[in-house]
Amino acid sequence: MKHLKAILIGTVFGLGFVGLTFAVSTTTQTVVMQVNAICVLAVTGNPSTLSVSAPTTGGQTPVSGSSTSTYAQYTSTVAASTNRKITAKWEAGDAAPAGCALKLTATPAGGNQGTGAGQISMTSTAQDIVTAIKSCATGTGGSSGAQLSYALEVSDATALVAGESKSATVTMTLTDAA
Amino acid sequence: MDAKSDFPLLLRATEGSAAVIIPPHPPLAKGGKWKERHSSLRKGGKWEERHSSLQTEGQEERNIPPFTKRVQVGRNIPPFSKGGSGGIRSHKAVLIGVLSAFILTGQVRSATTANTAVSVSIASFCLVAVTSSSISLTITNPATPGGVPSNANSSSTYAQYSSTVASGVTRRVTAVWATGNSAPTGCELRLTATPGTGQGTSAGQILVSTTAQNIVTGIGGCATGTGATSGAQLGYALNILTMTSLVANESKSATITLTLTDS
Repeated sequence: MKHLKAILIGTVFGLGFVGLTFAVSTTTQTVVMQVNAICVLAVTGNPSTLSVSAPTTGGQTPVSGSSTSTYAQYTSTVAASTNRKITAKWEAGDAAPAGCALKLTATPAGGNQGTGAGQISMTSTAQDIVTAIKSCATGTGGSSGAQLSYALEVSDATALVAGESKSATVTMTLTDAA
Repeated sequence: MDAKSDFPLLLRATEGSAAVIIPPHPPLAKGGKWKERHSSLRKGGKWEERHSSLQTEGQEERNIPPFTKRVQVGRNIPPFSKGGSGGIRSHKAVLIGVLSAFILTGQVRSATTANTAVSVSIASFCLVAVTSSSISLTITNPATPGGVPSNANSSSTYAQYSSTVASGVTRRVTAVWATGNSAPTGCELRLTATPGTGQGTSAGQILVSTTAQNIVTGIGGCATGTGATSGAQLGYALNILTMTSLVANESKSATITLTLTDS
């Protein structure tokens, strides 16, 4: 028994000594990862001039001017169960030519880029053009994002003034939905 | 065990890694037993071990001429606690146990035998640290509205290590995060280590998970240095996998464990 005990002690000692050759060393780092709230919006440019033109046949109402060449592009991150919207308005004092109305329709790509709110008649009061926007990035290509369709519609042909020209500044805002 | 194999053996480890096996005694008389007496003497500024042996047969004792072994020591040798073969056999048994452990673990690659001395020396360093214990990665606004935000990167920290290894042996650094850790929704965390020359080889970019993965391999004997930019540069990347899955203001904290270990 005495020898066995001694052998056991020696074995344990030896294993401990040998264990030094299987050295292991560790260290740690704490990595904090965060996604900021992102809410940025831009447009690809200004629409072309909207002109009321002559009808193809005499007696008809003049043809409305339109532009679908621009897009609203946006990047958004939202918290869970929340969403954003895009509103549009023009400045106080802005107006369409006499007898006309400026209409706007936004057509997003769908999904997290939101839902079109239909056509609005532009006023100085902000109105929704896209709703239910969640975390998304529309892209930055020439035709990426929500297509903006402007239409200068003749509302009263008798009020039209030949040669009249108006410039309006339309402001679009990406904001949290109420 | 026969009489010859029952010769007392003594392993004395001394400072400076010397170990001495006392040479065998004269043949043991049939039916006799060994009795040992030892003493340590300081002579001429050096220490000696004096060994006196007796053979016993019944009540009779036969003196064996004493012999003296000069041992290489730098300081006092503690005197032997007791003479007698029992203590010597314990030393022998311990020696057997130690050698058995080396053999069992396969660590003894070669054996050297001599009449008087066996030396064993193993020195191993295996240390790893990082230059900073905290890293922050944040997904922020893209450069252009409509664009996907850039991945968040950090390459400001370094893994620094000192390693000595036996011939033909290499080490590696692994990375793992704790169970329950995760990247923010829609993201993944990747890590690349870029060691300096002679400090191992990068294992390339890994996707950090709860399974330890190599980030540096082939580490031999080296010391990376302790400067702010010494060692293996740690490149963390918080990549966006699915833009539509991102959750604003979501924050996750993960503990990355780097381990330097034998390959």
